[in-house]
Amino acid sequence: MRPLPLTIVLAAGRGRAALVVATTAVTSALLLVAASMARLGRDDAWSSYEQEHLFAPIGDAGTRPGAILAVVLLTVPVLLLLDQAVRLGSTGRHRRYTALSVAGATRRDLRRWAAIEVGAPAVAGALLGVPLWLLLRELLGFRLAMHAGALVPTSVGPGPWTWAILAAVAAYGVLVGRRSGSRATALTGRGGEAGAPRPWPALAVLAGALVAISGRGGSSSADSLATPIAAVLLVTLGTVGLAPWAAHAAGVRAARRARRAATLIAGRRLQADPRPAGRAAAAVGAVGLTVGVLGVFVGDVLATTDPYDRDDYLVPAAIVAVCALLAVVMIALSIAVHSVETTAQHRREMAALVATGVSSSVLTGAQRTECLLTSLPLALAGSAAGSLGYGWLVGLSPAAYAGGAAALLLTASVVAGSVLVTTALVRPWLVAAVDPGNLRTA
Amino acid sequence: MTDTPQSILTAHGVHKSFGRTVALRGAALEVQPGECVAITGPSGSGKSTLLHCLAGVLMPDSGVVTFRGTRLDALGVDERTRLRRSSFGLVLQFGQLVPELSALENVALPLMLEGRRRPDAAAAATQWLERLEVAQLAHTRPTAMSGGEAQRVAIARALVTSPDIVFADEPTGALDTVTGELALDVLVKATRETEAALVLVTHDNRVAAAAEREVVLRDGAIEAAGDGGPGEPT
Repeated sequence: MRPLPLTIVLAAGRGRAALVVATTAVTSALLLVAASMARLGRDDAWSSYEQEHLFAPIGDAGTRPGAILAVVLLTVPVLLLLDQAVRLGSTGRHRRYTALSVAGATRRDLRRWAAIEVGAPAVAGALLGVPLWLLLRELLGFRLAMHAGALVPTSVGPGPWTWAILAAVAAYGVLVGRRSGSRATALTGRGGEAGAPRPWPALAVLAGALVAISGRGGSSSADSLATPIAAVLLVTLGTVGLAPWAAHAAGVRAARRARRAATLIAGRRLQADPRPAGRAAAAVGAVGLTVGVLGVFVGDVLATTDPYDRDDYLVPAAIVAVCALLAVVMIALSIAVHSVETTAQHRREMAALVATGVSSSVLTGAQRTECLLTSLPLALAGSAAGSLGYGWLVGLSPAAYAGGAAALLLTASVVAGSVLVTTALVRPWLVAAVDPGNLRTA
Repeated sequence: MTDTPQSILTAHGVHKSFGRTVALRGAALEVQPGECVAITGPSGSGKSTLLHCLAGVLMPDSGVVTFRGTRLDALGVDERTRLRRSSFGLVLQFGQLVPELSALENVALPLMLEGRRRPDAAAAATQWLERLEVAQLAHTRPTAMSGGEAQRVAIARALVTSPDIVFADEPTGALDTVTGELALDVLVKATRETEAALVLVTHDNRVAAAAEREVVLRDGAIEAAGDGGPGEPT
């Protein structure tokens, strides 16, 4: 007989466990990279920079906090995907917990099992983060240093921070699991729906902009970095908070103007439940911001830097861009997963719709529209804000904005492409969820 | 296999299994235009499965279902979907309205899919909501409706495309007695007014009494059929 925790983890589905392992492994690897950057220290910074041939913003102790913040922010889309992965199979889980509850399990038992369902793979993922960090150090540290600036320090590792990071990532997994357990154990219907999101987080964005404006033109010492970092944090937090409101607004607008059934369904779904999709889309906004900054940065390098020195900037920038674009794909996947889960929760209604003559292609079209409505506006706004904001703050040449325009086009194409690809990937689950055969198993 | 001259829907020798569970064993039925047929039988007798096979929602493992002389198994998935949308209406026991859409949008949806402009579809949907006395719920979502109200909206959605035949699977099963009777009255009256045939599945004798003909299903086969049906006693 299998041990109970293993039985519980396997009951939750192998796909879900694999996604939890993958996302927690990437998160802990990124945090280990950030910790090793933090341990470079100020005194030996320049020697490390020369010795390791680090990418300038990492090697320079003055700009390093910004680089560390960027790496930490890269974990946001990954954690959002973890959040969505945990929702996978919510309908089956609800049934399972109901059966266990009827069999005598208390809510506390169910929450504990839910924590094990996610916590066990999260622990495994956190531990796998160590070999993944070693792989990153090899590829983006030692090997990249031979061609351009290294993105991962090789002279120092995360040291004692390793244990804290692994424990934090695993604990986060357990917390997310417990939270999903609380949702699943809410067996009775809720009294009412949550109200529409309010745009109050825009105040944080505004505050971030004001902080950036007040700090413009200051000295370039390490201490002066506190202002731009505070600005970036305020804008990022504001964007994340504002995203559900933006998703709700996009849904209302689309539904009001819809001429096609797919657009109407997509718009109303966003209007009814904008928070999960909006939170995932917030990460698209953050990635758009990064790509926008990169666009004008690359444009400026091409316009002002000696061709012989360009590789030192362009290769790391390209790697960051690839990471950002991969993050877009992951976020698009998490939005698509959310959409499928929402459909699965209402599978009887959706199956009835198909039975009454609504083609499943209309519902996949609705899913595609929902994902695009959520992600595209934020991605474009983020990219434009990144290009214009960074260009204005640093005082870049007009030629640099050509790179910003290219970044805007690239962001739009990658987001749209990612949505098309990921919705096609999850189509089998959607079609299964809306199968009229589900009418038999009400 | 050909239909009798009057019948619009015919089923012969319909078999359907789900894994090892045999749901239908050679069921047969004919439906004439505008008539109301009740399919009754104990729980697990295959009533809903037969209804879903008749409506082209499920395909039988063997046997033939024809609508106006066209075999449903000869149609592709998309063609069957279009047929269901344009010629059939479907009313279920519960959980059939899209929860995120208002009553008006739920009813207008089939018309929008037929290519009607949204204002036209909304106008037609409003007429049906008024006819079924739920116009005041036009902008209400299903989660805020009572069971009886939701069922009236579902009936409006089933009838808005002027179908030739309406299939109802335990349409009063989730309602209390009074609300159920009201919903049944509305359904029967509305289908009569539109001259649509009505095939309803029920295990409630009072509901069956509202039909012109009763067909009894037991263990997946027709046990007894009223006048006008080609029941195959087993």
